[in-house]
Amino acid sequence: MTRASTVLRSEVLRVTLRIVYFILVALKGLQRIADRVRAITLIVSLSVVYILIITPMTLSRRNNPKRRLSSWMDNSESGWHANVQSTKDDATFSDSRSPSDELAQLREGYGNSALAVYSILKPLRWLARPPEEKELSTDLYVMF
Amino acid sequence: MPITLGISCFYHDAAAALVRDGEIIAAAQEERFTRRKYDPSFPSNSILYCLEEGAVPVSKLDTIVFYDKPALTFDRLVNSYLDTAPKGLKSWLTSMPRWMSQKLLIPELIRERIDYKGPILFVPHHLAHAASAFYPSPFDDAAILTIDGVGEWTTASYGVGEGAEVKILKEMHFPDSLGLLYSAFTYFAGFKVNSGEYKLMGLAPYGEPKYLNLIKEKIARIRDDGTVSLNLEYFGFLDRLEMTSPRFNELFGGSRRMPESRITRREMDLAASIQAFAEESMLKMANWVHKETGKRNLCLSGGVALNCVGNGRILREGPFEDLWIQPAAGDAGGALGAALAVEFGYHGVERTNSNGSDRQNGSYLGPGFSEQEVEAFLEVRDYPFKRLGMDERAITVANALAEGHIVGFFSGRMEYGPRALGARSILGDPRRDDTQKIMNLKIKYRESFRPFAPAVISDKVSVYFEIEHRSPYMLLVAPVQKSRCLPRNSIPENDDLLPVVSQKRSDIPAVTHYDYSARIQTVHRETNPLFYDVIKRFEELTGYAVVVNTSFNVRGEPIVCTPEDAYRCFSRTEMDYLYLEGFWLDKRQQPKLRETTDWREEFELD
Repeated sequence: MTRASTVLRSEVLRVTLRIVYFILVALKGLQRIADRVRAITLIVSLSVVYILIITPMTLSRRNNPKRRLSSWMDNSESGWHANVQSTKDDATFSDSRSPSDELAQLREGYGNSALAVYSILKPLRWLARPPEEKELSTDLYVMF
Repeated sequence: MPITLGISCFYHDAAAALVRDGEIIAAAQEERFTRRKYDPSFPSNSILYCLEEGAVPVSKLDTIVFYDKPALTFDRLVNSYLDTAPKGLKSWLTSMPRWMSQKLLIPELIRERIDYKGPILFVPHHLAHAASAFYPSPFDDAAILTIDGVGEWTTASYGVGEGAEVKILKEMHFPDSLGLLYSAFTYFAGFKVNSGEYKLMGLAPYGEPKYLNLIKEKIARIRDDGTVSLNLEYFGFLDRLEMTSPRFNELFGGSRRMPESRITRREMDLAASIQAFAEESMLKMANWVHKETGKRNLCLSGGVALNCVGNGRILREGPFEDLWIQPAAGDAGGALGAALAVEFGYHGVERTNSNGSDRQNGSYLGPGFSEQEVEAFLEVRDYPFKRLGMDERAITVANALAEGHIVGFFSGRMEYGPRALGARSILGDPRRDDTQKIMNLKIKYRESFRPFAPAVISDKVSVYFEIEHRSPYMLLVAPVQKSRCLPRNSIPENDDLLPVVSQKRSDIPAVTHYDYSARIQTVHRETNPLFYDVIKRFEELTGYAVVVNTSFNVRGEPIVCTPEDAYRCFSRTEMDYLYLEGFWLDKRQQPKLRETTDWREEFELD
């Protein structure tokens, strides 16, 4: 009787462990799938924003003389530009307000495009993840 | 007594710095702890170290300050994409997830990571650089010039420092950037952007500036005020994942050199050309800043301020009487600058007179280890060692150097900034013909053409080099005294640099570069007495008050931080002895290294 119950107990334990293992593997698999779906959704969303919003904005302002990035022979944008900032001026140190507040205060060259883009991207924020280690070793930091 | 923690991260070379009542308590780069070179990730380890060093709990911090204004940088990015779309999609897809998940959420990240509830401030990137250059300097009044790749919209700036105030007056705007231009050539020559620039500078003396006129004609102009203007048709950084465009390749006769492939005459001449361009721009900027500010002294910072050849020319040919350069001139120094700006500006701490010496403490601002800690480490690992008495230390190291041995030297607090200054250094005899070759190929495992720096006793510097100025942070290049120089061979037709590197060019060949220049560190008793004594003893033994000083690491590895890092590096390379905070280790007595994998694969080559 005792032996039978011991065998039964170990059998129950074995089956339970198998079920738990199966659930963990299944959860991990699901998580991987969900992560893949999230990453793809992010890439698709960002591509849509770039193609359908950024590109038309670019085309509409291509001939705008107030473009921030001047051409090679355009002397108006090169050289030294006055921008006085002092450590004695508290306004120099912005505090930890939200990015939209900061962006709203930026100089307005031809409409505050950065704030507009930020507002579009903000709802997608939950899809983004910090870069993995290997991505961080990239050579190019200028646009990142 | 306000306490401020400065942080720089998420771009390049993350760091943290702690400043109390205007005094620098601690500063360290994250790479030294994580062992990943130029680690840009959130500097949790550096922050922890700084707080421990200052015995400051997080709750006692008055302010945390970030060295950049992310919203301004985001504005620059968006405007760049708005200028290049529909090109640039790949770059957009790579950068935006970082911004959405990290860079626009910095206050939240800081609060979450270190459980901080106080105010978080943001300082403009170049103001942080300017503050890092002026506040620790010995000057009460100076002009300030900052030059780097880009920070927010700014690529260079100048202003003045007076007492406790730093004021930026004017700035140069992206995409016109001397730093980015230099980085583009670094990339094209097959070196890594943001870390290979000093290799390009080291390669320049082997070449001729044959492309200088072509660069000025097609790629970039220098105005009389030193500012540059880039022809964006030759660059790829706006819309591609490359620094240069196909037109750049066409102009210089083919695609970029692949990393680790043979260096040819083209790379040498390109290096010489862009170096000449950079020096001309730096010198013109310095002249302009002098004219505009009327100051006698100049403070320099920003990544381009690590171009010690350009710095040397500013000192020798420029209009300023004196020059001080922040040793952590790159992004890591932004953490310190931001903290100092908040202390002296926002908190109104009074800046006292310096009495002539700087406030950077030799840049020995990182972790130090007591003799007890080192002894415990050695005993637990059962490594054979000899304990040295106080009066034995300098002479033991000097003796080994005089006998031609290579010594790992670990002493005191670790350096803040990219240079090893005698706290985490590998030392050698500068008189030997083969020291440069041995150190490059058997110890550092790096390119053979790269020169080594001399560490020279401060009051003897002009005996060996044509300079009388202090250079405690190895940021000035000067010629070796002509009387010491020997004739040199030209580079052979097959561009093989090894016989040229091995050739004796002076009576201190290991520290004499191909153009008879040297990147000098003057050693001062007041900031590093043991290192000073080692060189002094070496002089007594050999008649030379100079030693070779290179960073304690192998190629691709961050400079060692702990005794364990130092021992590991010592045992993996062909160093002969290790001086470890009062203990002397002989390589021949050490147990054989047992590693299952090739350690050379541990570090990504820089």
